[in-house]
Amino acid sequence: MKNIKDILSTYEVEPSAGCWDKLSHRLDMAAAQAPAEPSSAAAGTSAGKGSALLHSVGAKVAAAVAGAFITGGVVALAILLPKTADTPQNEPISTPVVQEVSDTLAETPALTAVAVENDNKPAATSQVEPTIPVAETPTNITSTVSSSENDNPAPAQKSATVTATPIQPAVTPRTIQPALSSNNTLSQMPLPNTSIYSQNIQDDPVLQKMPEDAIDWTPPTKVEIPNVFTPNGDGINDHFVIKGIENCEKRQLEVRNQSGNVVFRSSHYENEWNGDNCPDGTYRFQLIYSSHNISQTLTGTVTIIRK
Amino acid sequence: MYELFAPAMLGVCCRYAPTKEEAEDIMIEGFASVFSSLSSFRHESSLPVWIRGIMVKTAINTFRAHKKFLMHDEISEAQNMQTTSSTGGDILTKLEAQQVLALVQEMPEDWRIIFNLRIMEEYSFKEIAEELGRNENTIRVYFQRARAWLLNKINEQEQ
Repeated sequence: MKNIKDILSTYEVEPSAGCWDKLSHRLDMAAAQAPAEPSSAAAGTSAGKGSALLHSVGAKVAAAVAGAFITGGVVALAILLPKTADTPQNEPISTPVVQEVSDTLAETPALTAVAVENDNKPAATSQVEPTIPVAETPTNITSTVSSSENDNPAPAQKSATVTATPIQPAVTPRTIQPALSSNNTLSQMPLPNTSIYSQNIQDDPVLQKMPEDAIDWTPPTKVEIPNVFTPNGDGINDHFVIKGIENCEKRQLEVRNQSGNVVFRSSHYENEWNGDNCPDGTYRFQLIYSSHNISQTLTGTVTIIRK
Repeated sequence: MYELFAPAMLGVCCRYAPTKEEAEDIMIEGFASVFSSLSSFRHESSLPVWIRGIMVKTAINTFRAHKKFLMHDEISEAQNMQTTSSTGGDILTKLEAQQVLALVQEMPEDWRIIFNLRIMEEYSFKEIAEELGRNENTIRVYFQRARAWLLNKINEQEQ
């Protein structure tokens, strides 16, 4: 017997063929009414899908959208997680679900820092950025790419006069799609279409300024964080184990309970937390980890169940 | 992004609408809102949770538009009803998602939306009353009835 909520939560169904067209049409209409940034390149989009709206709303959308695409493999799992991170009480918790939901929190802020320029977050997620500036070539996001190595907040100040251009990210997801079906983490996803990088370096004022190696990107640091563990002495998942943390130079973990009080803290986490003095329930964690000198923050929830 | 989330979001919308076509309409409208407010997304939650929230809100708005003139306040009847404590107990069943969904779609629209908000999105009765602009007791009564009806139907199907 399963809980009715869980049964319905997992229900998914493919939309019928006309849906995207209707949606695209609506977006185009909305874009036509919105006060547009000079969208002179509107005619030239290669993707064409919902592109008019993307143009008028500008890079902020493109950045966030691309962010969603890039992290697609990660996020696909998140849909199935119930909002309150419940786990059914009547099933043995032997295989915790890998929780990659929060990766989007870490990545998209860095992207929006490119365009929105409100945050002072350092451009930490190097794996995502190269796609954006290259796609929107005639703009001034040079500093974003090169600074991803240096971890300085310059991109936050760079004026994002990201005028609309053919938005390449709209195209890339078509190649990333196949990766979504399996239990993927970011590093298993196919790289974005890197042929963009090699074309027309001579004509491209932005690419010209970039040092040769700025375009290279190291595979992203991969950590896997369970969303539940069972410290009941059975030897299975008795600790909050973050896979991949061993490869990180910095690993600060902080866990708080629902009231916001810190229940666990470590400046160099070694997967030792066993939920001592913490009753069963859901807690929030924040993990700051770094690898290759690139620091990332993940937050999420973890549930302790001892039954 | 659409392709990534659409199946799951359509799944969400399906439980609010009586047919797949209407569910798709809600979903399309939801995505239109998503795309146009994407720039103001502040990451208080994760992206899929945010999108799902928008779908639910869109479904509620659609309901409100449909039901402007119906759904009477049944204050006196509510006072006569014993509001038992079993207002939100979990329903367990062997049925598959498709079957459960069919039952949910069979419900009258009022019941359906209250049922969804209560069980799936876990709104409190107070919150549901606020969203739908109705009296909280009315909501409780409707929910009781919906739940009882559903349990009955589930038992029938499980025979």
